[in-house]
Amino acid sequence: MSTPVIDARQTELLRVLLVEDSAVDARFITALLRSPATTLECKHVTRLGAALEHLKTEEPDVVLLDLNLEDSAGYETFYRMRRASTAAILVLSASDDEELAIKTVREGAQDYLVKGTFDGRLLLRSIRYAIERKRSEEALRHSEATLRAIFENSLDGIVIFSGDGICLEANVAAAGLVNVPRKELIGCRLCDFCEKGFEEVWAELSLSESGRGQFWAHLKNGSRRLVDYCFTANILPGQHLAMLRDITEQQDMEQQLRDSQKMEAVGRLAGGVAHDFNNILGIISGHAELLESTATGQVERGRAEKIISASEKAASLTRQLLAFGRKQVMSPKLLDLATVLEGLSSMVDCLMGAEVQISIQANKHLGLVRADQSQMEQVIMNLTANAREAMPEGGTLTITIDGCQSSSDDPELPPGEYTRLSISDTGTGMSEEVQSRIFEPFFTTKMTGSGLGLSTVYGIVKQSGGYITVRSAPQHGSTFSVYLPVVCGSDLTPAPAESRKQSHMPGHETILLVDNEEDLRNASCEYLESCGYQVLSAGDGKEAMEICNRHTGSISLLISDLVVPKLSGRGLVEHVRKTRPATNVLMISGYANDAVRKHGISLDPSCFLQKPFTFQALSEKIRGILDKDGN
Amino acid sequence: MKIEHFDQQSLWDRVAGDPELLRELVELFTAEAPRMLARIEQAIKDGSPSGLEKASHKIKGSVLQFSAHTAAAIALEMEENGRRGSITDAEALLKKLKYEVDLLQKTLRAMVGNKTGRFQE
Repeated sequence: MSTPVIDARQTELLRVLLVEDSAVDARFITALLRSPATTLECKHVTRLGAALEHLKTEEPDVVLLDLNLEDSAGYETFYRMRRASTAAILVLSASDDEELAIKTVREGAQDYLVKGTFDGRLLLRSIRYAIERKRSEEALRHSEATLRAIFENSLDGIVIFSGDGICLEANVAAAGLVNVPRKELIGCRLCDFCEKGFEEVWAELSLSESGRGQFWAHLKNGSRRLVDYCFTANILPGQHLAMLRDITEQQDMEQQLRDSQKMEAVGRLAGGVAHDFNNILGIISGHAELLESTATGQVERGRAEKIISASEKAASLTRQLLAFGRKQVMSPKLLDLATVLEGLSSMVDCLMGAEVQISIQANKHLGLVRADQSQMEQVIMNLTANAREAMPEGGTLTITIDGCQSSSDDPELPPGEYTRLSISDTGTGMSEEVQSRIFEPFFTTKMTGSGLGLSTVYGIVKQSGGYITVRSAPQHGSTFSVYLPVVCGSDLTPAPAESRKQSHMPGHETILLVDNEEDLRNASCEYLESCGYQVLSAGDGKEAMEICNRHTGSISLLISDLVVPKLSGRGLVEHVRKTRPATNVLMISGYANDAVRKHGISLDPSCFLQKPFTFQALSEKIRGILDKDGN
Repeated sequence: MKIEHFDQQSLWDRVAGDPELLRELVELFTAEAPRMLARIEQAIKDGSPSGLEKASHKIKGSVLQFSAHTAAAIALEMEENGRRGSITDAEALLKKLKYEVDLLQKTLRAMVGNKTGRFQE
């Protein structure tokens, strides 16, 4: 008779361990195991102890186990065997005991056979089934162990929940994501951690096969995390799977990148506008200065002064724009910030008024920073003014200067040593939305503000190689912190503070003036001649070169815009240096002095003047260059 | 012919009609049965219900192998009594069991004496 079961394994050698203390029973069973279709090797022992000893050296495919032996009885026999062997166990018993049968099968026995109720065919089939089941169980156990390890160690949160949204299983990452212990998360509804309204989304997802999206998880500690989820419905009937990934940091980084790109773009735009505007301002103020110098009547002089003063205000506005666009002229020096602050303290007092208490903690000798003194003054004044306006009812202004070391894990600050200037107020504070926009030019929350104060600060700090951060919450005040890299130790001495002098400076030398802005050129020309200079003027580079070649006398100074038509500023400078090595050069530009270097001209920074400039400043510059030259 | 206490056909089926095997098993049983019965007797003498339970269980397994259901039923009753801690009816049951085992042995010997290997009804 053929056995219709598992034919492929019929010829495989099966190793059987028979544990049976009754000689009759044992013989019966070994006789039943004889089958022409099966190669079977049977080892018979009468005691459990002997069986366990045998297992130490050999692992059978199946153990036929009588539960009642000389040295062990009942369930205990099965339990000890199961612990000692990974083989399939078939229980043979003289008791048709349903309860014991279920218990042993539940605990891993492959079958429970009652003596006298089976023949050889049934026993062999039972053995084959037992081995197959055991193998499947092993495969399942391996697969389960692998999946369990993946589940437990996944960096993403994994949650399995019921049809009504109750978490049935969750891994450590999922619990970490919503910041509760795992056993607390299990039994909870995931929706309890989600933003309002997400319940409907979740319900809809449960009806679909799968879905992806994001939600804000609200944590018990009040914070929130942005979670990317991938949902799969009915991985088992009525059980859904959600993979969760915390993308809060990623989102923040992307936002920071977008913000900084926006600021860059606005900065470029502002810088570009300011540059063109400066040229126009130069013409206005130049002519106004000429008007003032030639005006005969009091009224005319007064009007000219008004124009000059208005131009100066406009120039200060464009300076701020250029500062934001980081194109402002900088004269960086080694500064001790505390000294700069000290010089401003009386102004800060004035600015704050009586209802604001001022607390200043500034440590000197923290190390020097490389920055422009007037720019740093502007930073302090702008931030102070800002703090004052945040405290209409009074409060406390705290200015601190201290040292600070940034570690590599600070996302806002590259590692290094910094001097930190912090300005805190106890005022109205700002919402997150306002904070994200405060450094944008023309963004203001005030009726009267220009929206340039903080953007100027931002531009100056960036231009100085520093960083600025803001910490604020509505009704909890604000703290702005400026971090400037320390360039050298406290043992070096800072540069002496600038002094400003004003005087009229006549001259007699010959100057070649090149500017394509005709109105500005004419005004400058007129002014320089009024000072006593011989002025040769040209509207473009080619004309300037011709004059240079044609003019028989000496030319003491070439004054040229960085960008002139027909021949670049650089070409002109090179020609003049070659043909007239004694001639000095003064470059003017609406851009910052590093533009000179970018144009490929090597020039001492003192030989540069930024537009717009007053004629007063121009004549000072000219004398500075020519007097140094010994003329 | 079918004897009430003992399903001979079922036994032949289980040894696949092999008279040699049956003979061997009968010899084994003949040698073991007195020892198994003696263990029951000893347990009763010792007043040990657990001893009674174990010994009865053992002989039950062996008589089941020969499809001797009446003997197995008596052994089971003794085993259950022992499990409950009772040995009161044990003497009477043992007497009945001895009779059944004796009958079984006689029948088995008759079966292995029949060389055709099949018991005809």
